[in-house]
Amino acid sequence: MTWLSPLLAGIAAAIAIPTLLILYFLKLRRRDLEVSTTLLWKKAIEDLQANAPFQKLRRNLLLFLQLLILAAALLAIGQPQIKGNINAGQKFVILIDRSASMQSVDEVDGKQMRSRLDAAKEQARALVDSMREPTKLKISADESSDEAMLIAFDSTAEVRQQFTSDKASLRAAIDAIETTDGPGLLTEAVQLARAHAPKRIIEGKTVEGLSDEASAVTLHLWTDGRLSDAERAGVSPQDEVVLHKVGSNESPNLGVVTLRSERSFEDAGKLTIFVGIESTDRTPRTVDAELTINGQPAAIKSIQIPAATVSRTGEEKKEGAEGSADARPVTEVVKSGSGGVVFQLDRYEGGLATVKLRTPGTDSAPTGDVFSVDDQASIVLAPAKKLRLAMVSGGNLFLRTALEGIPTAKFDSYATADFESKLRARTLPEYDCIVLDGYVPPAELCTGSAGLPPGRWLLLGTAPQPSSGMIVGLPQGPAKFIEWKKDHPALRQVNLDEPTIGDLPLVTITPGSSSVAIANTDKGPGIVFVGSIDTRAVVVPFDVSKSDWPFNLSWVIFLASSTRALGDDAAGSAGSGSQALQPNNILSDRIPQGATDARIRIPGGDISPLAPAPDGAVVFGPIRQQGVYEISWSGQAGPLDRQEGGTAKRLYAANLLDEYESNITSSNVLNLRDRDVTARSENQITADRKLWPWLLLAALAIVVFEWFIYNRKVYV
Amino acid sequence: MLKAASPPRPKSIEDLLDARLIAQIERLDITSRKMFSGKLMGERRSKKRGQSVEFADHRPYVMGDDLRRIDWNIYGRLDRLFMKIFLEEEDLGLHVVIDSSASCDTGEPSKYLFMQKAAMALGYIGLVNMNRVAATTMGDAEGSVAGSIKDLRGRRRTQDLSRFICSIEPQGGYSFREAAERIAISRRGKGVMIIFSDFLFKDGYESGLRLLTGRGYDVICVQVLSPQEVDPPIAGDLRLKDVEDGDFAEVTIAAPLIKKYKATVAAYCQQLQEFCTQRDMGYVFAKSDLPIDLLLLDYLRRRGVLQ
Repeated sequence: MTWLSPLLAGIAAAIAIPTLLILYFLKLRRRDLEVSTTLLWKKAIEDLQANAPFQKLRRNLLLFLQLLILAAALLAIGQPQIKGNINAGQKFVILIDRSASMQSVDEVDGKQMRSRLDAAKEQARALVDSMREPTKLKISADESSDEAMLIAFDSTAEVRQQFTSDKASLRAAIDAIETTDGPGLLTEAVQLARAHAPKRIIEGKTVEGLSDEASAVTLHLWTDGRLSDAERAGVSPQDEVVLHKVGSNESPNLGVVTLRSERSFEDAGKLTIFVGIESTDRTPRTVDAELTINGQPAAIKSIQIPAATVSRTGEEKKEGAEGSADARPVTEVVKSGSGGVVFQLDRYEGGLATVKLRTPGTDSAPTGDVFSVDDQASIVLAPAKKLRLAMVSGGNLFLRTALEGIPTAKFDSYATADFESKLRARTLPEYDCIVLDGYVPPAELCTGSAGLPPGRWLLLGTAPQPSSGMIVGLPQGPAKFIEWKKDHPALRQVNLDEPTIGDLPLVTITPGSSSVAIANTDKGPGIVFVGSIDTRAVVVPFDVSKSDWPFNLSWVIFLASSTRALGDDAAGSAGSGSQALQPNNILSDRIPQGATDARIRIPGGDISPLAPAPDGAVVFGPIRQQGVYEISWSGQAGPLDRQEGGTAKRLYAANLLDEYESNITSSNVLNLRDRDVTARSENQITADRKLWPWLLLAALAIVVFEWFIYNRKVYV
Repeated sequence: MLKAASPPRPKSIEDLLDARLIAQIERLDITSRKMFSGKLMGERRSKKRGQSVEFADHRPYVMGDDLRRIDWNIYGRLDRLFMKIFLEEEDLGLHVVIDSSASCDTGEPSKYLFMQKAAMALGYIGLVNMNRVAATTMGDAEGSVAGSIKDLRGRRRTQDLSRFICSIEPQGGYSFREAAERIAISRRGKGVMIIFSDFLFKDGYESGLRLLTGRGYDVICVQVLSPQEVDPPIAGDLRLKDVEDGDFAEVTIAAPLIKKYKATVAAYCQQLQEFCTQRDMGYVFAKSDLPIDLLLLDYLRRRGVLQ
């Protein structure tokens, strides 16, 4: 048994017990009664008092009962508790995983099942209940109360409650935690915990002795172990990490882990949807994958997923053997069985494709599946569209030949004068991308914000007006590409190792401008991307004909990629792209300028207003749920947006699509960067059982008994 | 023990004596363990030789003796003059003393009412037997005597006696010694004195009783306590207030104290009895719920006060 505030109880006892006895001696609040004489009573009292100073208190049942009541109350003030496992004045950080896998319903709660998060919250509450409570009268440092901080995390972490000893606040904060549909990452949560840990100041030292090192805290981590970045999460050596595992490592789950759509390069009408499925079931499973387009069933395919395999890692600790300190604890690793299904459709239109996993032959979720979030996934399909391309050139054969090889819906070639006149007369047809070869429109026509007219441009051997932030200077001679952004859409699958530039002009990019170099040579920027609100351009500032690039395969690929990237940017992506999200990300996009009454509808059906920036940028989130988000506005619709009446609509699909998160088998061991943490064998928090409520109850019972005794004495 | 809110007060002799009690006590008479000479010829034999018909002794004739009492038969035989001496019949003085302090006005039934009834009954017996009857109430007054009535004789004076007994209102406290002194000084002659009191005097009863017995009275002390004084029905934390002097006693009444109190009461009564016995005084203990006829016919008769 431990006492939370023994000194306080002692002081209270030192005051209360003598006070009670003195009150008995003083006999305050006595009932007056007239008697014939006090002679005999005084004689009797004198005789009693003569025997012992405390004679009048002897065998006084009422006093005895009142002393009992007082003792019970004083003991209650001492706050005794048994089986305490918490030391005095500790600081805890409670970390609760709220990622998608914590929604798995595989925790037993009596006869019912509950989610992992519910179990974690209950255990966390038990920990909070066992905390040492603050003492009103703080007499010594040993009586300081425990404090705890609460952090909820998925792929991001947030402090839900700062360090406090207020149990009610902590319980309320724990109760308020809800799961999200996003993956779980530990690093940020641990960093957040360290950042908020109280600082320790070493007394009696000089200024150099002042340490900002955080004092040791105990991290209580409730998770199912599905934290893909755990090995990157580092905790301080003095910190203790207590892992509370929730969930089972045998829970079956079938989930969609990848969903991707592609249109055929040759025939954009041929749409292929790839669906990756994984299973943690220890037995092979057959499951139906149902594809719906805009809510209408489009196809259904049955697929068999192989059984998950279990492997053991770590080393058994052998008794008596000299175990190495680095020995990793044994843990079972479940590798999901994976499979996939491919849907091929002839569909030119866009739409919303949704894949759902079903028990074969039924309309219900896969049997035994404890995690429903990944049972379906959606993707926004862009309509099939071929580029409308134009070239403005003085007659570049290489360029013309290469551009004609690109599958386009429309390809026109203009002479510079003709193009300029049409541009001036605003009679130029609409193109997805215009290639300018050694020509740039005069400054008075460049009304866009990036030194060009509004639109999508590929500039070869020239540069936009200086207002773009890109300034072209004198030629510098031959140059070679040394690095480029391979992930930029304009340079996708382009290898610039081989081309040699014959004469590269000096290119200067104004910092903070809308221009950014996407390929650099040994003599400065070689390819520049210019992007503003209304204008996008890929600029090749050197004369391609004075290089060997046209003889290189990468030339054709570059033309195809850059025109496609610019054209797609104008027309919208052909699937996924910016309209594919993962929960916990921020939905950020642009809608046409001048749009009004913008609003977003989230999967639950709730609608929130949006406030677009002047450039049309809208931001929402971070989004917590997976599903389909719909932004609508009044005004002009984008090329891929649906237009219904005067309202334009754009869809976004948020999916978990995380194979690590879908593998919901919880792990006993969490491998952190510098240590391995093994979950407690007994997950029940041995909460301190407080005895003071029972003592108060006992006091109440004695009061009742005393009342009974008193009445008996008076009336019997 | 407990003071009643409105204790009963007798208004006339009917309230003090009922017909049944009168019938029972009509045949009783006051007696004394000592023979006292009285001032008047009474219905009682006195040790003093006198003019009664019962011969007691002879003595030689001296000049001036009543010639009618010369025993001529002795003269004829011895030729000497001897006087016949007869036992003289005397009346007996009965003095009833009642304690009318406030402490006697307590209890259920009232102690004072009990004393009034008992005193009236004894006075009645004395009057109907042609004894000299006097009554005195000790109480809160000058000299600690609230009132007295003397030299009553004969049945016709019962009304006077009852009026006196009913007229005294018990109140306050007094000094028993002072009262005894006044009684002793004022009392002429000798007789039987019956003192009704609870004898709960804080300054003691001993000196007072010594004064009374020193005058040769045949003193009978009747100690009257209420049932509540003998067995207090109270408990808890109390502040007991003395009705006479307002003195307080703060007590926590529990079983041990009750036990001790009863022992104290018993010891107090015992001491009084021993004091009386040692000084040839009679002692009778009576609770106020004792029937008057039982007191008279049993208690006092057994102690030789009545016959």
